[in-house]
Amino acid sequence: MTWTEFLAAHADDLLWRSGEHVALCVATLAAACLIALPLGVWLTRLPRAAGTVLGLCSVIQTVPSLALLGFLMVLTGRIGWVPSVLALFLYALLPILRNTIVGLGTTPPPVRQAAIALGMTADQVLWQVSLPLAMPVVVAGLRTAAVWTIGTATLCAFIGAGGLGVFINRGIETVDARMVLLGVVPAAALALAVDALFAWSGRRLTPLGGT
Amino acid sequence: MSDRAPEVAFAGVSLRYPNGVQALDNVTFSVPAGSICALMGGSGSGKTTLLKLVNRMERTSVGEVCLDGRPVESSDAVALRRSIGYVIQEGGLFPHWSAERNVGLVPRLLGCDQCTSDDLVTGAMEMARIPRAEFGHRRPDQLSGGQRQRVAIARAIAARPRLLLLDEPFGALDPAIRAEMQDELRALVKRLGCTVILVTHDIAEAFAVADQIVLIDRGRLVQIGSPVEIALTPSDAVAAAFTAKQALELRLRYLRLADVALHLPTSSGDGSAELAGERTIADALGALARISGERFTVLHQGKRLGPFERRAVWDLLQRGAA
Repeated sequence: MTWTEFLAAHADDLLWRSGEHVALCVATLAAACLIALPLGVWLTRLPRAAGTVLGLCSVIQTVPSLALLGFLMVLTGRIGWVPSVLALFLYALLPILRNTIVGLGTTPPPVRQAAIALGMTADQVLWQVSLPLAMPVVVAGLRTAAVWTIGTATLCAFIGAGGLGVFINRGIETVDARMVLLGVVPAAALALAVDALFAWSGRRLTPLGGT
Repeated sequence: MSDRAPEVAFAGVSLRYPNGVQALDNVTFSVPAGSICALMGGSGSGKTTLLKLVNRMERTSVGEVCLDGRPVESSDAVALRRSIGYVIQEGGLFPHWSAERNVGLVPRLLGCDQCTSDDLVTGAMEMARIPRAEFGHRRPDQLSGGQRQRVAIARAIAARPRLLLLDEPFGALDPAIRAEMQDELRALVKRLGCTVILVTHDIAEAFAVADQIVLIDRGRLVQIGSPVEIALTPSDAVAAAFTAKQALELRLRYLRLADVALHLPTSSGDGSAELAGERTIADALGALARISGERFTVLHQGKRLGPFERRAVWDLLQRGAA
């Protein structure tokens, strides 16, 4: 079977699995953003708690992905999406949280001081000054989280969550390099595309890049 | 705050930080309405802390700060700050906003409509000599240091506050631009009729701008007086040390003949030469060298002061100078 025939034979499957993969990543990143962004903003007002939370997230990062997936499968008593999204979510927390906290901490002290001295409320300082200035760093965190998630999501096929990892799984079982590549190449392409998208939006959102 | 410039009074103000550092120790003085007061001291002397008490960026441990007799602690902090202009050394401009957006900050915070806000921004930028048409759209990183400070001043005066707090506003500028900005600032605030409190570590800046100078050392008030009093009658050795290094230059450049006339002994006899009291000492020295005879009189606000011995001016210049 030539490459063309191989691709044609698996086109429908590839489309379906790509869709699954994207859905898995989008769900994970949406959940991570919803939790980590506000948490990061909130933690900038509690420096001590921020240290503890960041430490905890770093510990999660040290757990090998496959082990975490297996552990969560046992813990939740389920296979498929629930433990997968949970594991990916835990991985995505650290870069988003860390970059939000670091980014918000980079507001130059004179700028912050002037903002308060001229009568901005704490919320106004946050929304109009600190967050816009932190945007490039925050977006960089999202970018890291997105690329990690897309890569790690291939492992979720091991616990029945589908996605492009299914091809890799199948390829390993049948010792079929072409099948492995059918999972690897689109996953890598997806990661690169998302990385480029974030790089572009990061430039767009950089307050000093536009007017 | 009312429509007129307020008097600012510091009454027995002390501030001790939780770590035990005594930043201010029983400081009492007042800044008359509409005057420019320079808080002068070395780094860590407490001058910036004193300034921040006025807009509640810091709180006193003991004593109170009052605007027209009303303690600042009784005002809402945010409303109070919006009614007070504020400039810091590095300008503190928002780097992601254009100059005009920076200048329009306080009018917007106060809820001015677009039209009023626009007029205020244009007017403030005009007054700070950074015309909106040319500089309004530029971001701070597209401006020079001097231009940024002009924008910061325009931002501070945009909502026409009656009190301005300036924390080393020209500290980061090179000497030539600094001198130019000092002259302009004095003219500007006199035109606006604000009360101004200026923090500086540069005694020459205090002399150039202020009506009243407050010398502070390690949280304590050392002396309060007009430039001429600070230069000619220091209260003690600590006060004298503030001006010692530049004593001659300060007296020559910033004191006027009418100011020092009060400190000169009058002599008997007639003064044949008349000199205008508005002249600086440096300016008057040339004229003094050319007068015939040893005595002169000073004309000030229609009055004739003197006569004085010409020598007395040299003696005065040398008194206490290093």
